[in-house]
Amino acid sequence: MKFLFKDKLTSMASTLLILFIFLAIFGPLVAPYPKEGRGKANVDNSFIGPGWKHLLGTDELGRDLLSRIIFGARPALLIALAVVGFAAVIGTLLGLIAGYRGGWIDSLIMRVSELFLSFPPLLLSLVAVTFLGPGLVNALIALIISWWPWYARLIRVEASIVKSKPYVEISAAMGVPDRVIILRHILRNVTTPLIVQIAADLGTVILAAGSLAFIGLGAQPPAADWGLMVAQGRNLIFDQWWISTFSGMAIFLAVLAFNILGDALRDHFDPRISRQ
Amino acid sequence: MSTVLKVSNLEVDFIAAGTVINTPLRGINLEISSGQTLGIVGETGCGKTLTATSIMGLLPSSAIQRGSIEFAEHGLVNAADMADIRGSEITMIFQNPQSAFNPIFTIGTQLHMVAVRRQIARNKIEQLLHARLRSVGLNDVKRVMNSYPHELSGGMLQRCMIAMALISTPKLLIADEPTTALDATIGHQVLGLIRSLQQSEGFAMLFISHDVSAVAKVSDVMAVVYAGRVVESGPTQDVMNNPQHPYTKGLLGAIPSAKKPRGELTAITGNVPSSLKALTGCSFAKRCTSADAQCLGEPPIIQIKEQVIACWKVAP
Amino acid sequence: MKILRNRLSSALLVLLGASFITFTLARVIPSDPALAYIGPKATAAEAAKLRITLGLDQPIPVQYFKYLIETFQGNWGYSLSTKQPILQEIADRLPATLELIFFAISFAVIFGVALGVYAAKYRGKFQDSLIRIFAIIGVSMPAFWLGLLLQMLFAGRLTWFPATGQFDIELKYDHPITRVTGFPLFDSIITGNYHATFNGLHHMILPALTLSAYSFGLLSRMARANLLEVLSQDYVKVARAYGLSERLIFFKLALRNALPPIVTVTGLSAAYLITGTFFVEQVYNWPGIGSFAVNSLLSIDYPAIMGITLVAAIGYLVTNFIVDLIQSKLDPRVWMK
Repeated sequence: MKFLFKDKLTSMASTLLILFIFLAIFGPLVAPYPKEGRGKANVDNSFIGPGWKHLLGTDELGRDLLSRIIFGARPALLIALAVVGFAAVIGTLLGLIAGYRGGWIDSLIMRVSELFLSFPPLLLSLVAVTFLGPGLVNALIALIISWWPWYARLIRVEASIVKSKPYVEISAAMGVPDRVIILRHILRNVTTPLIVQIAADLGTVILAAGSLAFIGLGAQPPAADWGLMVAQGRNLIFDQWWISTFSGMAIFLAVLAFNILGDALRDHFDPRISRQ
Repeated sequence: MSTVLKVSNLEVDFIAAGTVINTPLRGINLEISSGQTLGIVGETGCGKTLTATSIMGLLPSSAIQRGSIEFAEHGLVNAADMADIRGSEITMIFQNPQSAFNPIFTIGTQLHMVAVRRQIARNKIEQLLHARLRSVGLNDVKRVMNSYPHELSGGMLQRCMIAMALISTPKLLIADEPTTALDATIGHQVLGLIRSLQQSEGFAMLFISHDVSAVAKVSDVMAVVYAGRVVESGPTQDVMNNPQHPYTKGLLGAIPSAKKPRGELTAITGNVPSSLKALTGCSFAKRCTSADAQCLGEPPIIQIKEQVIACWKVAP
Repeated sequence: MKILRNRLSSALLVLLGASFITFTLARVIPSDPALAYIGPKATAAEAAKLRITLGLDQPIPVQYFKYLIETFQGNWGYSLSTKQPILQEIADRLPATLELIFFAISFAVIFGVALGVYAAKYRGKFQDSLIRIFAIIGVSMPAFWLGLLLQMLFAGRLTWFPATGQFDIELKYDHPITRVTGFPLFDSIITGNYHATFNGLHHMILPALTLSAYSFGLLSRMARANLLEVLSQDYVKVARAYGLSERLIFFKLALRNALPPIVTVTGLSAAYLITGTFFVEQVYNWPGIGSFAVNSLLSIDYPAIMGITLVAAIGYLVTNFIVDLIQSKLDPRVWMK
């Protein structure tokens, strides 16, 4: 765990992430204007710039921006965890089966994965959520659909590498049942790249979900979704610049923190290149 | 016969964050005369390759080198002097020929680069390279020059590497485990090639290997290294037929031979000591069957005829 | 030649698959295409009649087959919102997007790789850390947010650049661009209409920078990592042992070895750029495929969405093909396979 704070950049990222998780859990308790954070409008207060009463200003409905952003932490984190969680589980299962079994099942799963992966990223999610209809849950489903193939392919490659290693062949020859072999050998070797991928993906999903919301295909008003808030402030960017700026910054910082964490994890598990 | 290389008390420390973390070489002494081959034999990790790297002046900045290296007419040389000498008067061939060549350039291009570096006249390079390749037994010169490393076999690549090493007609050739990555028969051929080239061109050679029989075949003089120190050295025949140091005896006893009667091979118990801890006294003491309390002190250098041994238990 | 045939057939399969997935999503998911076409105010009878006209009462495989044939014939349908032929819409808008992508990727490759190499050279020092921070920021920035920020700062506050559009509106009257290839900026150069060229570049800078951020970050990270990996290889140590100069080793040898993966990543970035244009064109009101795509998605314009998906998939395939071509020139091992 020490490596999480090994240098200034990583420490900053880890701190940000801890803050993010804290806000996701305890946000409603610490937000200065919780009712407004939840969505209650206060139109008299519209478009107040950043100041002492409202640290980050207010939005077009007079709601305190800081509270809105704090309230946005929970859905952001939940989406990230849900998408990556489901995609990783589905993808890992399919990848393990494909890599270990080989044969036609392998081909089938891999062909389907490659098909999905041949879409430019995000395009499949955009199209899927369009037809599913806008909304948070549909955005979730659309993202999971696009994400699982990454994991399936990653796991399958690792699984087939491990499968051909001597200690697995020996286990099989000694009569150890397939399931146990998969669990013991393959999972253990697969865990490291999986963790690194998950950390990076958490950030990428937040970015993707925010992008979907920005276009209008993700969370809908009055939800406190960061991407949605950027869109809402979009036409006001020249005068009431704080709305889009701070909401977008929330997305940016969350993604940045996850990316730095992903780097730190990768260096920790495979320090060949980064340090001499 | 003049001395080509003389290494005295070579020690190497590795440092990190200002402190010594590792002392892989604890006092190496070598001497090679012109036209002579010195074979260094020892287990993996005993410091053989590191010795070669130190001699060439290629240690990383995290290493500190002590002791002296004298080379031919240059006398005492340090790493900076070596920058001019290596690649011309001292060249090296490496263990893994596939990874020693750059995969995206042809053999010809890479040989060319070396020749240009040695400031050989442009119009003479092609001729020279062809002759060199032929001298190592590669007669289909055009094909080899136009091939990429992955298109050639290990044996052919090793020959190319030897050719590359001899472009500058060096005084000393360092061969670091040249046959380890090759099949036994190919390796045998390559050894024969190296030996015959040495006889015809007259360079001195430092031959490094963990394979005692290979060293014995090629060297005039050999040195046995253990844990960063030379424990025994002398003319090859003497050391092979009459090993004095307990480690040498163990090493030779572990070689299967068609000539020896059926019997057990000796196995030396224990492991090579970690270079992380400072070693005092005889580095082999812990695994030695003849060791006793005396061996806690730095062993004396005993000389028997032309053999030099570092051991308490050897009578002069 | 055999390689070419294989590539083409697998490319075709991919296109078929992409169109099939999109098609399936469109038909199978519970939202009524007919209703979307005529609007929610239509009666049930009108909707039913429309369904027959559009062929939506046929079984799905038949619909798909019909769609495939029409697509091959060049009939990509009509946009539900603009009522124009889709192929025409796409053809009209493609040049603007391609020019934008061209500038974005050029910037990303040139500066990304250069900075990555520079960081590798000064590894561990201050320059290295700074570049790595820039790179990771680039990779983490939401494109739409960066676009808005740049707009606000450089167009709003500092008025150095125009906020939206491809050219000044007056340009159409003052210095109209003669259409030669259909690519406005390119045409303005070859017809000597430098006024238009400068104006176009002026408009291009902010969107191109925004679009390039992600690729820039990705490429500089990759370039740095690859170069460092190459420098730790045996053949570099051997080159040093033969006295080759550090300069030769770094610039001639190591760089050439590090290039192939960089080329691959550039290809992958191109894919990211394709969907990136959706957001960037929206923010900057760029008249390209990206903004058309967003509008089509929001208005559930089925034919348009199918068309755009096809174009995106084709673009992705073409880019990968070009990348592979370049790869085979750079790395003999690839070619030999």
